[in-house]
Amino acid sequence: MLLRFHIRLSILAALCFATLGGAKETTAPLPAKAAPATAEPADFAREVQPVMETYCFKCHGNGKKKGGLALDKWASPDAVVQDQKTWKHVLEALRTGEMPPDDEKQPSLDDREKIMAWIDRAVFAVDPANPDPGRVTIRRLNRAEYNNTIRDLVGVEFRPADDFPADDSGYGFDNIGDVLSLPPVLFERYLAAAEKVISLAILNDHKLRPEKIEVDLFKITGGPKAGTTAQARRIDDNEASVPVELPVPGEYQLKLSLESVKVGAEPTKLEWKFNGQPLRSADLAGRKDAKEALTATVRVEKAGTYPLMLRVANPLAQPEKDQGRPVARNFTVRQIIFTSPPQPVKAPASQLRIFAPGRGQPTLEASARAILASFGQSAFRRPLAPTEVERFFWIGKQAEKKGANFEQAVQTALTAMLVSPHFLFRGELQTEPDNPKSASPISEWALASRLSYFLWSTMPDDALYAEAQRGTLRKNLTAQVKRMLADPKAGELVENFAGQWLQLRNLKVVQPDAKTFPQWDRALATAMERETEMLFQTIMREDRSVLDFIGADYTFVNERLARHYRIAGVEGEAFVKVEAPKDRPGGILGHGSFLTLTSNPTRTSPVKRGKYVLENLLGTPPPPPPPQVPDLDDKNRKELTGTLRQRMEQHRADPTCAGCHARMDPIGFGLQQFDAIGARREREDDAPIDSAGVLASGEAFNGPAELRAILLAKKRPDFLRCCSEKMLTYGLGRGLEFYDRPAIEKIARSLEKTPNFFNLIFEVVNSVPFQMRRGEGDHRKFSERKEAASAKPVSAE
Amino acid sequence: MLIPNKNLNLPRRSFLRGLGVTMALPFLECMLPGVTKAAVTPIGGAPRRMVFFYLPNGMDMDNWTPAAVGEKFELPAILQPLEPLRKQVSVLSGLAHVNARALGDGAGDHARANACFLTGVHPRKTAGSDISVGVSADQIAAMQIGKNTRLPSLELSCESSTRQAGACDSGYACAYQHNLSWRNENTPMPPLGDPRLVFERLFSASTEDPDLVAGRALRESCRGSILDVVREDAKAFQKRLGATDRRKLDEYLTGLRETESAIQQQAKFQAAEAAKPRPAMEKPEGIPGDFTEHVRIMYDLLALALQTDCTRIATMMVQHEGSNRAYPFIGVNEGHHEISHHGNNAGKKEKIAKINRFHMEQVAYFLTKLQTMKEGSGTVLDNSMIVVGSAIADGNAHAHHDLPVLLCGGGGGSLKPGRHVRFDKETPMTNLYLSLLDRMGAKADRIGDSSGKLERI
Repeated sequence: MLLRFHIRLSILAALCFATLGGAKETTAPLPAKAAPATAEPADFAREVQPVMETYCFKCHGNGKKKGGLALDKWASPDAVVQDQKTWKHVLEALRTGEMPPDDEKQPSLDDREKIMAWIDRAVFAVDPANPDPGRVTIRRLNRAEYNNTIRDLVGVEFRPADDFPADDSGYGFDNIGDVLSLPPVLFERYLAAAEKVISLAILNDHKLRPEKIEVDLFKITGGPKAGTTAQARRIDDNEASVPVELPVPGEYQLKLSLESVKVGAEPTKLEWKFNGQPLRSADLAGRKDAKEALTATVRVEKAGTYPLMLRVANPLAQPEKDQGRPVARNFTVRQIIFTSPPQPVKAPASQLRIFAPGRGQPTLEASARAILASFGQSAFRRPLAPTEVERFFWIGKQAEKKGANFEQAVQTALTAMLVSPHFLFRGELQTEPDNPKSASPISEWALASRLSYFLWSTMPDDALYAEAQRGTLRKNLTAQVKRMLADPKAGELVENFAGQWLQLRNLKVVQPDAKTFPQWDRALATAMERETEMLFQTIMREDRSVLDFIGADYTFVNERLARHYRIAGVEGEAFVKVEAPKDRPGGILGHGSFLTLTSNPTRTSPVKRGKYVLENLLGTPPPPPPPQVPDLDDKNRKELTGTLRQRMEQHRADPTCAGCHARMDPIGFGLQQFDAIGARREREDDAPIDSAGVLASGEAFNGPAELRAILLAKKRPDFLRCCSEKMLTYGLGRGLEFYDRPAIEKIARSLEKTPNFFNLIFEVVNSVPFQMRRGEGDHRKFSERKEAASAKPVSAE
Repeated sequence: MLIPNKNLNLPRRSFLRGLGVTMALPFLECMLPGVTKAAVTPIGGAPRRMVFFYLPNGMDMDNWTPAAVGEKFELPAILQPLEPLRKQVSVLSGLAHVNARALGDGAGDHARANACFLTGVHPRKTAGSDISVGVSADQIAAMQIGKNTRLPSLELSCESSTRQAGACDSGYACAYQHNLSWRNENTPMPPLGDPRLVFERLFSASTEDPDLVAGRALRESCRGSILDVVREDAKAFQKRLGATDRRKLDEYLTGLRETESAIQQQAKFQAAEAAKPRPAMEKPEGIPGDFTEHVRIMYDLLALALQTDCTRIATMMVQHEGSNRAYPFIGVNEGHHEISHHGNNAGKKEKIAKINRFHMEQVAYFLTKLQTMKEGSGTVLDNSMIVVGSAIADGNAHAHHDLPVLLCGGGGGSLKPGRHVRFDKETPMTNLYLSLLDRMGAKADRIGDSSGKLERI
């Protein structure tokens, strides 16, 4: 649950700001000594209760308890503050504006804030001067992180986690420690993946092996070119030729996989030549499943590059009974593979890298230990104790007793490392893990991991490890974060953070109705996804304002998307930056991605669009619909009629629905000029589109541009806070709690001044919950502690 | 340092029983009918099986519930595809999942229904930090009698493992809405939806992986030492962590233990491998583009798993609760969840019925498949107990009572299918599960809200 905190420039917030503020330029962002709380919480009986009597008791007091809630039920002041469950409820209702209902008397903003601040301090003991960092549940690598980590650690291009079961998500993201469980089937997969990865990375014998040389179909010249992909190349009667590089002299097996369609009475005849010498020509079977393969043996006297030529020998088929024009024959090459004679195989690059630390050691055993210590430090993301190295060494020894050679012994030990909990989980040690009063900065090794999994979804690189080793990571945090964001690996932040925050991943599964939207296809979906990714990427790479997510006056299109948006003059598959068109707001509100994701297959859903904006851009999600709305059960209920808007307005006449829909629907109506796949339209249900509306907070607008302007001006603080919350949730890998509000507030305030992307990331990285952790237990216990956090991280891991 | 003073304190046990075999199993003795040594052996010595199917968003109940009870009833429109099998199918009416109701927790009926379906427990409302529901009926059985087969249980779905991005239902963690099986109150058993992965799990295609040929025997013989060392590491690690983190390491240790036992199970069934026939099915290449084909291939695999006795316990979450899949190939271009809120619009209800009927056609396909699989003097269907249902009745109102439930198969002579049975209102669905567990030879005093066993099934 994302929480918002409405204290406006109060003393409390100012204090909170002071504790961590300014850390950017100085050294370690550790909290200062706890400042004494200067503002006492408003006394319940004196200040809170009277406000509640005025605005809440009509339904929740004096014997009334609507929805089961009475706000005068407590017997003693102690009982009042003990009832966290009720107050959490109240806090949420106030925060979202759910209560009091719109048709009741509304408290002033000050009164609202007074109550919320009181709840924070008296009930939840949130003290901005002594912020509670909370704790992140130990995180196992999710599928994306596992794949990336294997790639960086071992150096094999193989994505074993694609075969793992789905990762569950929570709080909108799939990197949440609490939610990432480890079912038995996953452990089996871990073991199988470790074995396979290590087998691919290290060659364990010195046998001669044939090498398979696959021909790049893009290198084929001559013949028709259209439609060539990495997996397919059309061949006709024109000679098509490709150079083939053969590494050693000797006899090669050539295998040509293809598909063809039989045309006319006689089969298509293949004519092919290797190095100018004709190979035995063949009749093609006319199979369309790409399972036809032709083979030939060729011999070369020395290594070198040789041409392979292909063509159709009988190009024209005469239709039966000699009627009509002849039809051309052709076929499609799917794969060309040359298999070399057995030869010594070079160790793969991964092996050279993994074995490098073993070079120059006096004995094989010393060499093995050096390899294990080095690989282990990368795999476990911290140095290994000598005893740990010994344990993995022992595994290698056991393998040796069973007949393993050196490589196999090392393979066995490395396989063990890849199923070790220290690899699969990102553990962070602390001195008193079960004492909620104990809080301390995480170690620099742990910080390096937090940073790299946050920004790169993979393990730290050598530079981060070096900083951790020297103990200088906190000191050089700014420079490191800058470097990391400039690295290509930061593309993972686009894919994994933006892909989930803006729900771009769902574009792979949306199913707009083919009848209603014949122009919809995969290429369009991909282009839409790319457009929004490129906006995110541009804001990240150019360190632009995060407000560009809504306010950009530019966008990115390729030919396909430009046609969809009716932008002239863009050709080809490549994306170009263009000025946002006049009839489409720049920023996410005008993106096909958002407009499609929030639609049903056959029609738009103003509710879903409104909900998306409230949830993902403004951080003020509407409360969910009431369960089992009684009216819906009524079979005699009249069907709604009219345009979509009219029908929805009838729905809103129902008081049970009105409150929330008044917040969602107007936003959606403002965007009705875009259909369910984001194309511009002028009419709907045979009526002109009315895209005027009034937001629940009172601002009137007409059309998407005005709506966007309101979001950028009046709703700017909401958006900045929302960005802060989403990024902090993703960065930490846990849901935010009420005690995180000071941290959120601080990030949002900093963004108010400097809303650029780097600042957002830096403030998250520099926040108390990112930098520290406390022992497990009740937050109240934490707040009882006298002294501020110990400044010393747990050093030995 | 993590393992203080542990120098050379190496695991005593260096070998694991049952090494020298591949991870995913090749063929079982069960490929040969009648060789099984089941704990419960009714007809012809064949074992009983228990399978649960979940269908989302409720049903068009007007076209689901037969008017008459007993043996002579007319199959309503949705159930008509089951006509040829009607002697093998009972319609059970009146069952309820009260714990799927809000009970003060507000919205989120889809998440609750999915999580409650096999557990009978009211899931804790959380977006993630403290997930809690109950052990599911299938897992209660798997933990007790799963050792009789190579795989204790099998969890399947007809969905890809790429989840929707964004939050799930109304503040409930996605795990509730995407898993039917729960090993314990916090650990779901995620379903496999990719037929290739299921095939590999059932029929061990890994032995054919060319990358793993070199040094196979050695690698397999070293698994014991590897698992011993990482287990001790995990335990030492655990001691230095806080309570929640320790629980996560418990999941790790459970997974490790089960993997060891899977290796042993594999060895146990290795003997029959010599005679291994290949399944009458090629290894699938992945999730087919066509949904019907996907459903059918998953049902084929499930049938094969039951026939070969790879497992006797399975769940099939055909689609997760709340799924908004469109079914354009049967003329439903709208999303399923979207139109399930039909507001009594006749056209929408008709489309809901179409989707329901489509799924019944697929269920009929599955049951027919089991019926053609001879086993002793009967068929696999005779020896199976297959629950098909939903924890939502009418999707429009999210009703969790009078649920649509079918009980199919003969249960090894212990069920009397072919009837429409109406139970008292609000009879816990979990009572049905208790009765089935009993027939499976698994002990359970209670499941979720159960209040006793169902007698008239």
